[in-house]
Amino acid sequence: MKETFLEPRSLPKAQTDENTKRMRNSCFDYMRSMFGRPFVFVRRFIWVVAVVFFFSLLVTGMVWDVSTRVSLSSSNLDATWQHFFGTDHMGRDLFYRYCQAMIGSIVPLWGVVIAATCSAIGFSALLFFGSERAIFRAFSRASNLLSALILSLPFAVLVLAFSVVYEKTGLIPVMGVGFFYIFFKTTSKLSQMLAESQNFSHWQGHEAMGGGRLQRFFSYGILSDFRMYLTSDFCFNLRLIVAAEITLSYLGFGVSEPDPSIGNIISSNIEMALKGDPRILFTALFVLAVTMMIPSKIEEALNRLRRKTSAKLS
Amino acid sequence: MLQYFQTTTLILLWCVLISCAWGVVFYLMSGYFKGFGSFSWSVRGDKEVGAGLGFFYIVPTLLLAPLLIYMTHNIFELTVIFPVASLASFRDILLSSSVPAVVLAIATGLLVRISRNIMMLKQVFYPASFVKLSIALGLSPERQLFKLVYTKSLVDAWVSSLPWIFGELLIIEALFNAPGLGLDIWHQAKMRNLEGFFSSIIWLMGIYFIFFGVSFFLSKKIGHRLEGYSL
Repeated sequence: MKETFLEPRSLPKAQTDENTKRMRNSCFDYMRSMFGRPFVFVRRFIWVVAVVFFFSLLVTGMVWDVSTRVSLSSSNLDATWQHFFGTDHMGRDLFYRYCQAMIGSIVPLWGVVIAATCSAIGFSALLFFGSERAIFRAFSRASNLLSALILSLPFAVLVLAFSVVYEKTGLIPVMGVGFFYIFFKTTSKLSQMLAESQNFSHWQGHEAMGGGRLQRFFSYGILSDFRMYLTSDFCFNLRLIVAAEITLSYLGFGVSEPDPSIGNIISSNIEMALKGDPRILFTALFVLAVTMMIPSKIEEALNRLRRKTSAKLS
Repeated sequence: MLQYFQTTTLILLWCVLISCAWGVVFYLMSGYFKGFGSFSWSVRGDKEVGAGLGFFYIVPTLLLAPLLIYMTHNIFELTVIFPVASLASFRDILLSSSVPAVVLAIATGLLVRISRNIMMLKQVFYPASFVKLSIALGLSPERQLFKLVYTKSLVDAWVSSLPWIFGELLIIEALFNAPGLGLDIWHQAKMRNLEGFFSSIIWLMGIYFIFFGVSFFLSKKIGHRLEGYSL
């Protein structure tokens, strides 16, 4: 048929049929991948539930300011539409307590991890930029020594020691120790990778052609060679700091009652579980499991993005 | 103080035993079932080993231990919490230390690291000339590689897991009421007895540095031996 300005270009019938067949096959393949392999389906279903639940906790905590009032007449109620997870021994709604725990402790801690990682990248960039000068080399050596000292000690012991010396409960000990621990850990690893990267041919080529140090650090380092390590380390640190805060709250040194934290909710209700009422313990463990799963999903998504970008560039 | 040392040392020794046993089992299973070594809880297999296993690298003790205590108590009617130290025999304490050690090995990612190291080292050393020679001579390459892969994966996993093991030891002993250095540290901290608190921490760090020294020494020795291998 003769093409005109107004009529769209139409494909030959054989090619249209081929495209339709390909689309139908890919839909069947996708459906088969979901239901033909039950393990895959269950795994994806669990991930979807976890992500939706996590964001519902965050959004509820941010949007609704419901004070979890004590109401002894409605203590230890089972899950209903009014109280999704029921109430605790003081009659406080559990779902909203978990929302407050998310907003009050998990989100600030993840903010600390982001801040520490960005600071470490900035500090490493500064040291790399000035590495020809003696003072920067001295700074670099001092930083490596301090990192080796701090990183040789277990993180939980450091956090507990600081919180005992600090003599007050709350998030400050975890945030303070967590910031410096993650900062020195990331700086130490970046300086090690920078030292190894001097032997890479593309780094040497860039330097030989007069390329700038900062440009090399960010383009070849942070956005390329170091990205996989930074991604996995970042997600590991997200889990690490949450685990430390929950441990500290369980031991009575972190966030303490009446402020909610997953750790202090578990410690208050573990005895009830052993006496035959595991509802609160199970809900707390479910929220904890979801919180620990989310960084894995973030890592998976970032790795997928990195592979797509690398595939496009190659 | 001796009692505290005894319990903490028993838990750590059980941890060593469990890690050695797991290394042997995983090595044999990965050799016997060809697909076993590449399963990684992910759809895309080896491509996402890191991400797939990532969740299991740190499973908080507070996720695993309360679940275990509840299930053993309410379903199996077993008590995994430590017996009262003054009334219990050495045998009771020895057996009771095994459960916290299992939780410690899983929660710190020690077993996952051992598995991952075994998978990776097998891939690295399979193309080596001594393995090709053993295949040419009709010998089993799995047997030839066992000593090297097993020792190196165990030592590397312990070196990277040590800080987490000693960090989680505190909460493990608190959860299971095990009268070790970790529980003593917690009690001293609650009473705000800084002298007792820091002296217990120093003793715990002493054990930590002994483990660190041994694993560092073994790691260096393996490194020297590997220099002689033509890869």
